[in-house]
Amino acid sequence: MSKLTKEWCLAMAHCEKGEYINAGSFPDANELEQKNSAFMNLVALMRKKLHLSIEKFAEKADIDIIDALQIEGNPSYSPSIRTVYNISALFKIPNKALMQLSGIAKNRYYDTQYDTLPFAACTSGNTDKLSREELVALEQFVAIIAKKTM
Amino acid sequence: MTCAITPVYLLNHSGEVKEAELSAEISIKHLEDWHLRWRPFMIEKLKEIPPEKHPQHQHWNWLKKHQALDGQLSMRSYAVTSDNETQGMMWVRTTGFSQIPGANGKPIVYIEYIESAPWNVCTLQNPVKYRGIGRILLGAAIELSQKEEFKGRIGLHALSQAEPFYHGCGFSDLGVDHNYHNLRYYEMTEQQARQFLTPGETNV
Repeated sequence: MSKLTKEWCLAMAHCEKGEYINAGSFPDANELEQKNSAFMNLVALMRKKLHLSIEKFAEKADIDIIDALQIEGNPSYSPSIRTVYNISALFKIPNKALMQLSGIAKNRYYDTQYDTLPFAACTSGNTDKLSREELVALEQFVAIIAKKTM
Repeated sequence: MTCAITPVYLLNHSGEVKEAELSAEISIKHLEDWHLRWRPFMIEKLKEIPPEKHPQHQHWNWLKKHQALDGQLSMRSYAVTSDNETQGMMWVRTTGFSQIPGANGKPIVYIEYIESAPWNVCTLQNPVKYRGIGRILLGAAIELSQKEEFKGRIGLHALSQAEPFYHGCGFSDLGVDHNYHNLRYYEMTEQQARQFLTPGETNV
């Protein structure tokens, strides 16, 4: 039987003052990588545009929810070809463009120009509506990548 | 397979008792909370506090940790949830070894990663939303150690910002580990673990 009784928990809670409790390795430099930030921002904005929760997005794209979370939460994550293909079909964005953007296909046209696009404001909310700025930026961006891969 | 859930209790910012759950597995819901709640909260708070006070773990990515550690036989994960929101998470390994003289080489549960939600850290939000998460997770690690017949022994490398917490929990401070990012290594002996779980009892 667990010793973490109500009395024990409360006695312990009284001892805590909101200190940091972190133990483990220092941040891995790779975690700072932003190589797929354009891809992750695009997916996050498109998902918001379609008012999809993470679960619904994973279901509609027929991808694993862990993949869906990784795509939006981990800039250094490399999705599979199938995942990117399914997402491009769901969002009706040229497959070739998304393959390049995600880093799967060789990137002939886009490098840092994608990262400079105004996609920084899409880190919050699950099904929040897009702001006007986000919507404009998203539509411009999709138009650019569609044109570049024609 | 459903994971074991233990009812636990926290104190909220007003000192009221709040029911919580200790899950013996980090689930998709917990990872979602990290992604959709912890991370945006942290990003906002970083704008408000001076850089020298920024959390040393600010770039930890629990999705990456989950991907790397989930499925390994020696790994266990835990999460504390209250108010339908994840309040803390922890990964532990059951293949650690003691470094304490006298118990050197004996098996321990080693805490790979432990973190509470950013609103439970007073540097980021004062008053904090809930208190008690850190010790509940340590209690879970000690109980796992006992179940594995390691007699409650646990160990960890603390980030320097968290060193006061581990001193306060009664760990032995074994000093800076030059083989592990120069982080201080802390360990709890069998006796210290027993004292931690039953603080009112006299040590034998």
